[in-house]
Amino acid sequence: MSRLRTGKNQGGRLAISLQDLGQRLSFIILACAAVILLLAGRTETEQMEQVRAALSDVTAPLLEFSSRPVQMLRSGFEGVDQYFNSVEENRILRKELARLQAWQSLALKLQNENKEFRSLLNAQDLPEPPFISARVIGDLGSPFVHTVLINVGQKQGVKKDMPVVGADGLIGRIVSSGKNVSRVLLLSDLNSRVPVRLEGSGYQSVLAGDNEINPQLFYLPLGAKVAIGDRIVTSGHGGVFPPDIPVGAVSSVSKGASASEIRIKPFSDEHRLGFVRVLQYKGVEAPPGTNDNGAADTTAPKEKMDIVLLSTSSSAAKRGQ
Amino acid sequence: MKISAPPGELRRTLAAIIPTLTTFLCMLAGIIPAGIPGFSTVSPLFSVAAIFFWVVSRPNLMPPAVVFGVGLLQDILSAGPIGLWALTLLVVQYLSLSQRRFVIGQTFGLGWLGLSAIVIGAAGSAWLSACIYYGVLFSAEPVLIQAALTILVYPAVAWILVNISSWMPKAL
Repeated sequence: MSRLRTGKNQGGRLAISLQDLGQRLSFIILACAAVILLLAGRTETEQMEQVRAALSDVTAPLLEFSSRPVQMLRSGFEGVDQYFNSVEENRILRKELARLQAWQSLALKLQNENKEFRSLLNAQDLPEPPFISARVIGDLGSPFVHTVLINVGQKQGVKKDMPVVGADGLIGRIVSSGKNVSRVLLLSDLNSRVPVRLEGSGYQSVLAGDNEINPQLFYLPLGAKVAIGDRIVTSGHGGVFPPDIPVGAVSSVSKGASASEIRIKPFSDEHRLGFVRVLQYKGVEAPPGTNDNGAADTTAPKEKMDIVLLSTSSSAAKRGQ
Repeated sequence: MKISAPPGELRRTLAAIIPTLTTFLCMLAGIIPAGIPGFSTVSPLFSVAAIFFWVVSRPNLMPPAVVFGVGLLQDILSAGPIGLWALTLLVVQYLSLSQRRFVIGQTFGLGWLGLSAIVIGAAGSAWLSACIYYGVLFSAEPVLIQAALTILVYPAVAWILVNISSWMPKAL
């Protein structure tokens, strides 16, 4: 009986050690697979992006579903907060309304003046691109990558490199698009580069992300004067972003060892993105007015035109002060 | 009269997939938008906490393939380099297994201490892998905050998982 028990114990031990061996072996194989995937991602970026886009399509509904309770909780808290602060907010909004009404009359005056001058000069504008509204369904969740997932993809007409704007300005561009979801590379990401210009002075520059909250301005001409609060808009160079999209304002200027470090606070807060717009901008391959696709003109978002107009008028007013 | 039903086949099957399911949910919890400015960059590594818990309490229910799968999904969803979290979570599993004999049957404080060491190791490993992958020296600050937050939230995660595991049959 005792011999039988010993035999059983030995059998059990053997099974455990075999199981342990199997676990160790699968651990080594999987660790090697992870390293190979990392190396493959480094070399075959385009193909890996396609795989990632296809997988994101599968996982997106899950992410969207799981983000619902958090969104509900958030809107609930915001509702309570708004209820208790409504009197104070009302007072601020009335003040803001009075200020903006003055701006509106100035904007309308400048709009008419602008239209008149443009017709006199026969100036041609780039057509305003149509857009697709999208909801942010996933966040980056990593200190190394700054991207968000949105619920529109190729089926809705989203393509790689299309610019994405939030309520207040540019937030980034599409880096990969699956059938129903796309990934947006935010301005603060390490790989983000946006050709911009200083709205007031017109100096060209490049806005580069470095995973800090506020991206940095590079390649400004020597002697260019930059002050805190200066507005930055897209320059349209390179053809990825249309010109004159509001980007942000200079938040800090500090002297570095070789050059000044100029940081920009984007107008759109990338941590509070709910809904965004993907601009179906086709770049600048065809000169405006020469192709048949005039639909872009008629579907131009009036709201966006107003934003651009207001930004132009505000800088004009600033210069006038 | 005391009613004690023996664990049915369905209950056993469900219990066997609970560690995978909860680890997957923990991974999702770290990715979904929280709406707190800057939080997504430093959101706790819930997946690391869950893997540590299950490897220590039920190592047979947390095989390397599951850990690899969860890590791979985290890579896909968080848009990081594919393989980064798969590798990091496997390192977490290996370290947790090697610490298991010091932690099992001991006080919660000792387990917490073990988790702290593993989280710091995992965050450091992910940071180093990302630096090598991108060829850039990233700021270590967000990673350290992430590790600290994970250590802070571990008692809550462990409390939930202990309650879930108490429902599971002892032998599986």
